[in-house]
Amino acid sequence: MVAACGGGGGNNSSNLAADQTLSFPMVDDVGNTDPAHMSAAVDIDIFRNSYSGLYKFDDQLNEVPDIATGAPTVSTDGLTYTYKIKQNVKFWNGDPVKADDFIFSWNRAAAIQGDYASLLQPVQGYDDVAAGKATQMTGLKKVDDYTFSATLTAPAGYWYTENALWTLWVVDQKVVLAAGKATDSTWADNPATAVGTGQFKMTARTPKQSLDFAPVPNWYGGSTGTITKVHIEIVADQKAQLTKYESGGYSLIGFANQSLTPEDVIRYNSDSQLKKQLTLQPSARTSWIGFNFCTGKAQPTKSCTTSSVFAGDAGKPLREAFSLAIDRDQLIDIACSKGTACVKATGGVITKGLKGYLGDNTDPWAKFDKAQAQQLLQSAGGAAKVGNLTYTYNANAQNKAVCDNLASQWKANLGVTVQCASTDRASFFNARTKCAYPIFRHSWGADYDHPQDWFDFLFVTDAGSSGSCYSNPQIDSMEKDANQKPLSNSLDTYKAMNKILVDNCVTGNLFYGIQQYLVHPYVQGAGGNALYDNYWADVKILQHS
Amino acid sequence: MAQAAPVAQPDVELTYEIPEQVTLLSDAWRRIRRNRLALVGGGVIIVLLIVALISMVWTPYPTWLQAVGPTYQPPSPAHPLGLDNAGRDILSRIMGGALITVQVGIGSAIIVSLIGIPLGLLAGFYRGKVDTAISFVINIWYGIPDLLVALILVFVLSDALHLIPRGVLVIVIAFSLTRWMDVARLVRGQALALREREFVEAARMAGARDYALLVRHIFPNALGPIIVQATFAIPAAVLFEAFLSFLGLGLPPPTPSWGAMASDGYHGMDFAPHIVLAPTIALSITLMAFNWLGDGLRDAFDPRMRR
Repeated sequence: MVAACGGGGGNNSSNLAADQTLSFPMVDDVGNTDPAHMSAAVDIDIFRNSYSGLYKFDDQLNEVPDIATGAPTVSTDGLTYTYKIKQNVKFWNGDPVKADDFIFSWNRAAAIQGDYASLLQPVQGYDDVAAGKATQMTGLKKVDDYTFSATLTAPAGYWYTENALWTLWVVDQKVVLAAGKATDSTWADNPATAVGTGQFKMTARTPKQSLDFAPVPNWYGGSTGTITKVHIEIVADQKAQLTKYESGGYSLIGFANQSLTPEDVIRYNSDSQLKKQLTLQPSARTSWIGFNFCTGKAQPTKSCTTSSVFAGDAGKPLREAFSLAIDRDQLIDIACSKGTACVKATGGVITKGLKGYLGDNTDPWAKFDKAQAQQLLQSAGGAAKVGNLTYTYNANAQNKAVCDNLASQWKANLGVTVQCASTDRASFFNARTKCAYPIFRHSWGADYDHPQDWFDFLFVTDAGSSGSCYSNPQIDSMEKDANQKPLSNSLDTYKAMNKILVDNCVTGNLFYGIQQYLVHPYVQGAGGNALYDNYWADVKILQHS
Repeated sequence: MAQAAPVAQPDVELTYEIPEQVTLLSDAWRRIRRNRLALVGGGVIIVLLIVALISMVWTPYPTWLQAVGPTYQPPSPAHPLGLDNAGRDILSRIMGGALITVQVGIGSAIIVSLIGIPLGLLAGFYRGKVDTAISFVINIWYGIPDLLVALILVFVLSDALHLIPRGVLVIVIAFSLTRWMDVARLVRGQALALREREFVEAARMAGARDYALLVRHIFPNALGPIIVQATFAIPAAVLFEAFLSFLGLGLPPPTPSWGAMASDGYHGMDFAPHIVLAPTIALSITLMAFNWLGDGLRDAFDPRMRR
């Protein structure tokens, strides 16, 4: 695998093409242009070039200052974070960025209650703002024009990491209020009023057709690179995308979390010349088999309605059998385009490369052992115990390929017939939240590099994205304790929690993700980190015929 | 006056030329044997039936089993038709697909006939209000886009109401409910013509009831065109199933439908054309075979073709 991050470097201006237009396609249009509403990777990856916040992640996922002058000062009780912001920062319309803008932006995000508003939950007064009882979080205080503080209700070691996320990007309160109420978002759709602090500003947008961006003149941070225009087209047909790319119509494919069709990846990867255009970047995503842990109505969590054969200690042999019966090499070969779309997960649910990863081959249930799987199945009551089982997934090509392969392997290795059922994304997530499926597809793309992002949303009791209704008081207790500490002091606890998940085979871990980029040789600096952070200012277009 | 001598009557045996007695089917068979394309079509169909029967008990590999070898492997001695994008043996899946094809084709032809023949007979025999009502329904049905209705039927019956699992049966029902009108209209026309024929009048005069007239006299004499129509319904049903499966709306994986197989291989045409070629060639040959046989049967049953 090739890491393709950072600027191209080493090319003087004489090597640059006259036309410095960066163009690329996206399957779907952006959904939300307002940072307070954003939740889709497409939206975030595009608009991180137009907006910014106190911090950002570098190519190695280290959190580094962006608008902040440095790391926050944290009070001895771990409750108050004081931020200093650079005094030369301006929005592209010339408005200076001050502490008031950050306080306004964060209060606004809490009031809007977008999908990621809960990132602000640690701040004092969040609940009142979220409930509409107040407009300002009491924990946010302006110290001076360029200093403000956030006081938390309880120590939260992950708060600093969350500071680098899009929901906490700064917006221009003058512009927002001039366009309407603080919670309105119409300003963000209009290129004239979509004012941010990023290196690029939106210059045109035709919904479901195209977006255009241009570098911000005299950007406060200095250079915006060589790119003079960014043109994004919405093209749903991936074949049409590739055809245009191959004719030179696009600089690259892969920005904004786009992927290639399996056949195209294989074609490029198997040709020595074409392969040079293909870049495979590990991404912060794990996919696994979700098992239902319900033992009855409202047991062990309130979302449960019926009992599952996979639940609890009684269901552990079945979970183990279903996991051991999978030859992950075969799965990766078939469902991940010969390993170009993912790599097998052998180190627990937290993705390789992220904090909390347990290490290669530390998951004993991620190996293929047909004999042991059959033995475990028999000990659990045999295939009859399982009955008619349906594995459910949200419809897309990879999920289908995964399910077809799992069903084939379970039938061949366990003698269990599992039906594959697909449903639309919205229905799937709605039903999964209610723990409606006995066995299902699950995956998690990390929002940030902190184990709390995994446990809070997936594995504590009543976690919002659990889907399995898993509940373990030990995990709950450890998580509560770890969340209060800085990551340097809590990482071992998180790892111990991850180990508990592995030991109990809570998830049938399948594979870790790979982001594919198809980039012409004359395009340098394209790529991003495992969190899909792509900065257009790093890209250069070299001379080409 | 001399009395005329009686004319001697020669002792001759009267003989009559009795034509060879032939039934409708034997007459048709006699003529179809002279139609080489129809014979080839029939031969292919027999092979298809044999392969379908064999696949019920044996295929080189299970049709659902993935990774029997490297994905996208081209044809080789071990796998004469190669392996698909999931490493499944294409020959095995072609054999399994033959069974699906036969089930869908013959099942649809039977149900189409079961719906269309009674309605056509009633409309043509009774005429008047019965004919008006049935013809009205037929015309209305013709006005509805059949493919769209069939898609909706598959979705409603299987996915929404869960009345019938997604499989061959629901495809057959959806097809039949949207394509029965051809048979009904054909049989109606036959019944309208036959009810005026002398043998039907004779039977009626002899006291035959309507049921007997329909079943014993009119239906058997309309059988030729009905067989031809049913033969043409088979490839239409096969194509319909393949089309639905190609779109991902037909039989669920890993059912080895030829349409689904073509769909699986279609994106890999650039570097693994065998995946899409095998099912499409099988499908094309099957469709041609049924059409050749149908043409032959039509000619064979058509009285105007007699020499």
